[in-house]
Amino acid sequence: MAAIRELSMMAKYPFLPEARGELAKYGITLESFSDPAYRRVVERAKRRILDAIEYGDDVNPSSISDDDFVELASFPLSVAMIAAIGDKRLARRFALATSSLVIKLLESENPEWRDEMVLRIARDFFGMDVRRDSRIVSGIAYDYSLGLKDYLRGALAFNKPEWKLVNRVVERGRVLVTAHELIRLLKDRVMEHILSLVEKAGKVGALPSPVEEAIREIKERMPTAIQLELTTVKSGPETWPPCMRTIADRLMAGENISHFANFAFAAFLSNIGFEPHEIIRFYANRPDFKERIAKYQVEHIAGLRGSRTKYMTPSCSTMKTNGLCIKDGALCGGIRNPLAYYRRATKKIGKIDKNKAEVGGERGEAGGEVIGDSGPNGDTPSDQQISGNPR
Amino acid sequence: MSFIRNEDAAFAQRFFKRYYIEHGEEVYVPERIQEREFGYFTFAEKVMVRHISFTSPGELTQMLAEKAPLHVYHSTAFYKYPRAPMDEKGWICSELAFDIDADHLKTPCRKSHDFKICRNCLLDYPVDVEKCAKCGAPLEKVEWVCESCLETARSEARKLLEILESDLGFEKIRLAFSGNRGYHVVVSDEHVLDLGQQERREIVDYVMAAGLEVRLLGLEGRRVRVEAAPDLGEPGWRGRIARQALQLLVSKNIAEICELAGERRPQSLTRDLEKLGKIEADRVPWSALSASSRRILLRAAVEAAAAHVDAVVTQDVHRLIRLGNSLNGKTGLRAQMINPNDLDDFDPMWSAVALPIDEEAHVKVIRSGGIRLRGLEIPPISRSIVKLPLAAAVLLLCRGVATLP
Repeated sequence: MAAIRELSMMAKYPFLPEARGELAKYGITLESFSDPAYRRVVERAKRRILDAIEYGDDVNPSSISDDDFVELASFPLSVAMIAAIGDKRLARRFALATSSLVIKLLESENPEWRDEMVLRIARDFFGMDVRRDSRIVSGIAYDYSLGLKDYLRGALAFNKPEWKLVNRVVERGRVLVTAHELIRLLKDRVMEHILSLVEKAGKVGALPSPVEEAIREIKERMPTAIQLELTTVKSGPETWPPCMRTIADRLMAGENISHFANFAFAAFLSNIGFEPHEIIRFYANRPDFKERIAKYQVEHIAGLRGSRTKYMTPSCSTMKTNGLCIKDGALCGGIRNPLAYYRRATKKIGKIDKNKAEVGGERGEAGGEVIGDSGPNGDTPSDQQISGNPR
Repeated sequence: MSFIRNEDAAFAQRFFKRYYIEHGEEVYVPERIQEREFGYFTFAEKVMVRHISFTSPGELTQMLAEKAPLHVYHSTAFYKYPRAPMDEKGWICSELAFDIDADHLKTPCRKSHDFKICRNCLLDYPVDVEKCAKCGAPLEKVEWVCESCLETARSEARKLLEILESDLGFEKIRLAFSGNRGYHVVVSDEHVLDLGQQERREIVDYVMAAGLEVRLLGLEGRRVRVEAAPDLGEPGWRGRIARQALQLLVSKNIAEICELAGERRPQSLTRDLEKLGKIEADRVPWSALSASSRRILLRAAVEAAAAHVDAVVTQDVHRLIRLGNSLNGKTGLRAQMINPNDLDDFDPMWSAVALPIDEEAHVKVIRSGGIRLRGLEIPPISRSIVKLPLAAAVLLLCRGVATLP
C-alpha cells in the first residue's frame, strides 16, 4: 500500500483518513488561513464550492491544483466553509460534485493502482464486503464480487435494468460487478460520507477574514432557493395527505428520494391539476436536477407524451408497500387513495376548482395499473429520475 | 369460509385445546421470543387479538392451552416494545419472509373443485351461482384444496429454496407447511435482518424473476448474441433459464411451453422444434430457433423456473406469520415445520394431521371433495350425515362445508 501514502494520492482522495493524518503533520488549523501564505488554499477551497454550484455532477478535474498540498488542505477547508454557510442544498450539491470528482479520478488511475485504491476505499474505508473475482460471464469481464447486502444498498439508487438484482450474476450471496460498476457504487458512499463530514464540522465561530471573504463571494453566487408559486391550483400543501407533504418537504430540502416516491408525487400533483412546469419546480432542488430530463418525465406522467396515458396516484396500499405511508394512515381517516384526502380537505375549505382538479377517485392506481387507452404495455417512462415502475 | 354454526366452532375448539395441552411442547418457539409480537384469532368472536408478547416459551404454551386459538401468529420483526401500538413498537429488525399460497397460483384444478354453499339451507351450488335458489341469500364460496393444489405449492417451495440457497446464499432458513394450501419460508441470516422494504422488494423480484430483461440475455432480435446467451453452467438466473429451456426443448411438449408462455400455439415453434431433431444435452441451441420461438421458449422457461410468492408479504417488515406447528383454524391441520432437505418426502395429508383419526364423529356434510388423511381415503361426500375420523370431521367443520347433525 505504498501508493496511497504518497502525497499526490492523498491529494486526490483527501477524504481518506491518511490524508487527514498527513495534514495534521503540518499543524494547520482554521486560524492558519488568515496568513496570506495560504491564499492559494483558500482560493482552491472556494473554487471547489463554486465548481459544485456551477457544474454539480458534471464537474471536471481541470481546476485541480497542481500543488498537492493545496489540494490536500483545501478539502477540509471547503467542508468547513460549507458547514459555515449552513445551506443543506448547497451541502448536497457540494457532496455530489466532490464524489463525482473522486470517481472521475479513480477511473483515470492506471488499472493496478486503481484496483488498490478501489479496494482501499471500498473495503477498508467503507467496510464493504468486496472481493476480487475476475471472470467472464456472458461476455462481460467482471472484476469483483460484492456481498448481497452491500450490492442492494448501492444499486437501489439506480433505475436502469442493468442494476436490478434479477439481471445480475448472483451466486451464493455474492453479486459480480465490474471495476467501473464498483466505482459507480462508491460514488454514493463518498457522497454520503462527505455530507457526514459537513455535519460533523458543524458551525464554527469566527473565521479568518480571507475565508469569510470567500464565503461572501460564494453566497452571492448561490442560486436562490426555489420558491413555489402555485398559480394553477389554489390549495397548497395544507390540503395534501401526510405522505405527499413529507415527500414535498424532503424534495425541498434537496434530498434524493426513491424513484417510486418521485413518481407517486408527480402523479399526485398532476392529478390535482398541477401543470408540468409547476411540478418540475419541486424537483429543482435535487442535487442532480436536470431540467430537460425532469420535464420529459413529468410530461410523461401527466400524459402529454408517449402513450398519452395519464397516471393515477398510487393507492394507499401501494404507498404503504413502498414505505411512504405516514403513521399507517392514522392521520387520514380510512381512505384508500391519497387523492381522497385532498378531495376532502379542499371540500372543507371550499376552494376546489372542479375544472382544474381531476380527481379520479380510487379506481385505479399508478405503479401497477394505468388508466388510459393504451393498456398496461404502454410506453412508460423509465430509467430516469422520476419514474414509476409499472410492471 | 369458516364454521357454519357456533356449536361447530366450539366442537372443533375442544380438540384444538386438547392438542395444545397434550402437544404444547411441539409448538415452535421462535428465537428472541421476548422481542416478537404475537397475535391470535379466537374461535368465538373471530377477532384478532394483537400486540401481545411472551417473556418465555412457557408463557406461550400456557396461553395456547388456555385460549386454544383458531389461528396464532408471531411477527417476523423484533421490537423494543412488542406490546406497544404499531408506531410505538420500536422496530429493531425483521426476518425475511416468503409466502407461497396455492390460491395465488394458476392451479388448473381450481375450476373443477371450487363451489358455493348456502349456510341457511345447507345446500351447495356451482361457483357461478350468486344466490340460493331456495332462500335467496347470497352464497359463500368454498375454495377446495386438492392434492394437485398441494403439489403445485410444494414445487414452488422447492424452487424458492433452491434460489434462496444457491443464488442468494442464505443459510438460516425455516420452512413450514401453512396447514392449508401453502408454505412459509423464513430467512433469518444475520445480514438480512435489517434490510429495508426496497431491498426486500429486489429480493422478491429476484426469486420471481420480475423485471428480468431479455435484452441483457442477448436473445432479443433476429440474431442471438452468442457470447451473451445464457449457458447451462452459469450461475444465477442465466444458468437456471438455460437449464429450464433445455429441459423444455428436450420434452418437445409444445402445449406445455405455450401454456407456460401464455401463447397460442404458433406454427413456427412446431416447425422449429421439428427441425431441431435430436437435441444435444450440453447446450441450448438458441441460434437454431427463430426469434419468435426463442421468445416463447424464454418466457416459458422463466415462468417455469420462477418461484411464485406473495410479493407483499416479503416486503412487509411488520408482517405476522403463522406459528410453526400450531393448528390452522381453516383446516385443523398443523402448520408443520419441515427440514428444507425433507420437502420432497413431506406429505402434508399425513404429517400435518395432528388431530385424532382413531376417534370418530358424526357430521352433516353439505359437500366435500375427496380427502386422504394418513393414507385413509375418504371419497367425495354430498348432502349426507356421515361418521368420519375426527381429524376429517374437524377439517370439514373448519372449512364450513359440514355442521354437527
